Amino acid sequence: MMPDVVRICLVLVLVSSAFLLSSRSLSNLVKNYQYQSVLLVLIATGLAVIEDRPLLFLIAALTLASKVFGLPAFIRMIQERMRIQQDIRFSYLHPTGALMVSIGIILLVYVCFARILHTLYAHNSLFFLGSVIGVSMVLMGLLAVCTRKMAITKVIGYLSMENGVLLFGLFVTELPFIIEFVIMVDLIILVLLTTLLTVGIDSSIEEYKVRLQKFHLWTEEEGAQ
Amino acid sequence: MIVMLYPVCGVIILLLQLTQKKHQWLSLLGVIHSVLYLFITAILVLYPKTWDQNLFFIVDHLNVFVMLITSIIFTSASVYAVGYIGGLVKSGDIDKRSLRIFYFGFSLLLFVTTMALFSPDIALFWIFAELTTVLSALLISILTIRANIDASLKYIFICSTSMLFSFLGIIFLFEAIRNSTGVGSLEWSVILKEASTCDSGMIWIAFVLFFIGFAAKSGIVPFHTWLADAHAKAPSAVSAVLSGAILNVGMYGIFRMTGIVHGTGVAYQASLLLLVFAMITMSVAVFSMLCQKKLKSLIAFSSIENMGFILLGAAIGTPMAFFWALFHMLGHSLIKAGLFLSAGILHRQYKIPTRTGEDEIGDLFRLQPVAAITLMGGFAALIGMPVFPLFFSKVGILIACAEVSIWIPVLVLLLFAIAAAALIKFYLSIMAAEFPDGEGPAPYIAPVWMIIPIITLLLFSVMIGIMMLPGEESFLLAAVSDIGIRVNP
Amino acid sequence: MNEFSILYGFLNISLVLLVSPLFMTVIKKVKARVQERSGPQFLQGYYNLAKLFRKETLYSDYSSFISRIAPYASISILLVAALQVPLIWVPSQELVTGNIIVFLYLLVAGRFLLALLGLDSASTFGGMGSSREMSLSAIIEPVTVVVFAALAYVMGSLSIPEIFRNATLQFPAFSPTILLLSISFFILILVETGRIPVDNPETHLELTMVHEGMLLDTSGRNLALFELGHAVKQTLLMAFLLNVLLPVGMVLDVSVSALLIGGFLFLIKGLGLCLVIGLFESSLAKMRFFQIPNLFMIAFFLSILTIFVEVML
Repeated sequence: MMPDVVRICLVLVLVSSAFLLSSRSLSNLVKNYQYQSVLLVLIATGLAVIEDRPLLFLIAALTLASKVFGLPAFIRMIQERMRIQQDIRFSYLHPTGALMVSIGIILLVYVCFARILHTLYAHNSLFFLGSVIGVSMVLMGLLAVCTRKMAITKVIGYLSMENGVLLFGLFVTELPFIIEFVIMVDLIILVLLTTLLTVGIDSSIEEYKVRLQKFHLWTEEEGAQ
Repeated sequence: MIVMLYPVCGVIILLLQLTQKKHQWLSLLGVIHSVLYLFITAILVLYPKTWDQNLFFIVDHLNVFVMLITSIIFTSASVYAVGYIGGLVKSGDIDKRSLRIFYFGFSLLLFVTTMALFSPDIALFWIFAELTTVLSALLISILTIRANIDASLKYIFICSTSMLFSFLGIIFLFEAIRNSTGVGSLEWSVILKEASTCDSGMIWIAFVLFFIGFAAKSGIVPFHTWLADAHAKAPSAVSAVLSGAILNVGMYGIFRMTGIVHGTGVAYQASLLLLVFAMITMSVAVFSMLCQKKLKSLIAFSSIENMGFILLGAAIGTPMAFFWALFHMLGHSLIKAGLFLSAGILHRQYKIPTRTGEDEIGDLFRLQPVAAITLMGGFAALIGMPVFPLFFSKVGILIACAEVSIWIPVLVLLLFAIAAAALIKFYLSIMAAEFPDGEGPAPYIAPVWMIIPIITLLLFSVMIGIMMLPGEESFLLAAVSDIGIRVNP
Repeated sequence: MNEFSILYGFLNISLVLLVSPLFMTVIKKVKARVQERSGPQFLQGYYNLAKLFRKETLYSDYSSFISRIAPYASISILLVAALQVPLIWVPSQELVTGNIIVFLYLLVAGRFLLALLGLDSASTFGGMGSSREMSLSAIIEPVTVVVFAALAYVMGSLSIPEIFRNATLQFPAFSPTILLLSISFFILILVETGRIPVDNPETHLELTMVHEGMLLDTSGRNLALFELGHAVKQTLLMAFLLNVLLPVGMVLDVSVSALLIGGFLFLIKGLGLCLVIGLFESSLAKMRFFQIPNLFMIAFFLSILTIFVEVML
């Protein structure tokens, strides 16, 4: 029963990663990221029960605190400060194309891993599925970072990549130091976001303002910060 | 135990810096920090008997060598910063409140780089390398112009996403070691011993993924896109540190990993991979140098070219190639730091907005004779003139390449010729430019503290270029064997 | 052809015809309740059909035989399709065969007739509705095929009763594939039956119509048949989703009590799904026409993912 629940969560994680690529509203992106992190917490607890590794409970708790509550609150604060709602047409790849590329990515990762890990894990095991999904998530997050212009979307793509690495690490091996990794990456993102927050300008935002001004959607009082 | 002095001093200085507000005290603390580190490193170099391995640090010839380079560059940069940052504050480019952040970040960067170089296992190395990325990005964006913020964000994104791939590689490596020995470990020494017993497929994938991250950190094409903007837009003291010290951290990681892979079955593929990337890097960098119009961008692309050349040395893999690659690292850092610091003086001189709205260099020898000469010396060194150290390392690596295939040195020499043409063309263009009478800027008297580091760096590079210091050859050979390449006596 | 198959055919078709207007009305009622109106009575659908059957049928002067044939042809096609989708009683293999591919073709044939009808009356809005419907169809069809293909792959058979039987035997199956398939099917229902966010079925503005536009010139008995046909199509697609996700109450060996319980359970499940559809429709706005492919892409992606997961598990 537990392995089934873990399987369902894994597939849903992949779905959320695809939604991340194709969603255009920034608040949806943050919500998506929260759901992804919740699923990760569930997977970690499920694995902790199946594999009997109490360390994973700690990781699950840490993920819950930082990624489900902490980081999204921080990002929302920045969004309110910068007053952007939509990430329309700020990408080099339309959502449709991005989803097609994701399918290609998943296929590619599956084929590569089947060749490399076949000595270690059977094709049907939970671990194989977990590692394939982990690496696919990393690549899909990379797609988000590369093809979107707005900095906040890039940050969320990066966070999704980090989730993928965490997932991969959980499944492939036991890692005693993964906690430090998690803390470290969250710290990096915090620093990044603080910079964005305090300085508040980067060129994609300016482009965005110009575009909104063209449609008379950005009045001057709002624009002056 | 001497190595413990590094973190202890670092923490003390950082705490002191938090309490200061005036520029003189902050910059003085920065200088003291780097000088202390230089001193500790000198002790480590001169007394190898004091090295002891403990849980927290690994001390061998390789990282002491790279640490030496790092501390020299940081010392020069912090001495230079006394005058340079002061000038920036006076002209209003930096807010007074950001001063404390700048110096704190600078010292923290030195601290973190040291910790990265001396870290005993790969995971800690990864964490500290990420921290260097973040801190240097912070330093770049201290001038809050939009272009700087863009450059800094691009830097963080490209390097951090590539480092995530590196982490995937680390996980693979851990699993490979765990499969062959039963208990996984990520310490450099353990992995070096056990690598040959692991499954080749996993080691290969681990190597490729690991390479991606640290290649991005060192500016290897195609992960180099952040380098030109970041190094060009940052304040010159920071550029010197970035080019001279931080790029070396990435190379250090690649060196160790290459050494690990050397004993396994995939050594040939790994070398081929490194060779391909090195050649592509050098070509792209050299051809980009031809079209640069700004001084600092030109120097930044030259950094990429030199990093590609060091990678070529690592690709060839013979002890001689590694020896000269390490030497090239030293020479390149010294020269590049000197160049960036001179460029900083020129920036302070020509900063007035001209008709075109950008820095326009003209009347160079009249206005800034010292900077002009050091710039000429730096360019000559980059081209590979015999008085300077890069001459020996280029010859050495090219001879090692010739043993593999004669076409590699031919191509590389062609690329070097093109790079030389680019540098000379640029220098001639700025040497010849003259302002019409009365339109030129007033001469900028650079404070003595800005000139001394440049002269020192140049003199030191000439010294190591002319002669081998006593014990230097054996030290470098020991470093090569520490990487994992067996050196035949 | 023996008595069981005739009995099965009769029961299935009468259940479909009986239940479809109820489901339509329930969805309308849910949407109305969300908007704080009281909405139509539950039997309003039947009353509307009865009223329409009594009314006079008018034909435009420019219409041809298509306007006369299309309503009857359309409802017949849909009833034949209904024969293939067992709602409660899944008969054994020798009695009834239903094939997914034939089912899809029948649905498409119905849609084709409807589009011709829209063009036939020579009104501009009819033509516009037809062209929109056909362009949407051109994009929907590959997605529909992939969704049904994923279903067939997961369940292991192309025959619809076989699929339902496998679902009943495996229940409860906590499989991620079923979950993904359900989401894809849900999107498919919204798209095929022209609900928000694809098309607003309650709009009275002709410029915004897609499906209704083609029916503008029908009246009386023809309109009643088209409304009924639309409701039947929706019920059939809902049956797919319900019987694969929650196959409780499916009857494999026929007996009166089992049929009654099964019918009751199907009604409950159907009403639940209508509630979900109604709530989902109320929470979204109609999408811009050229953004609709994005919605399909999600269904497409999920179906391909289903096939992958099925291979990997």
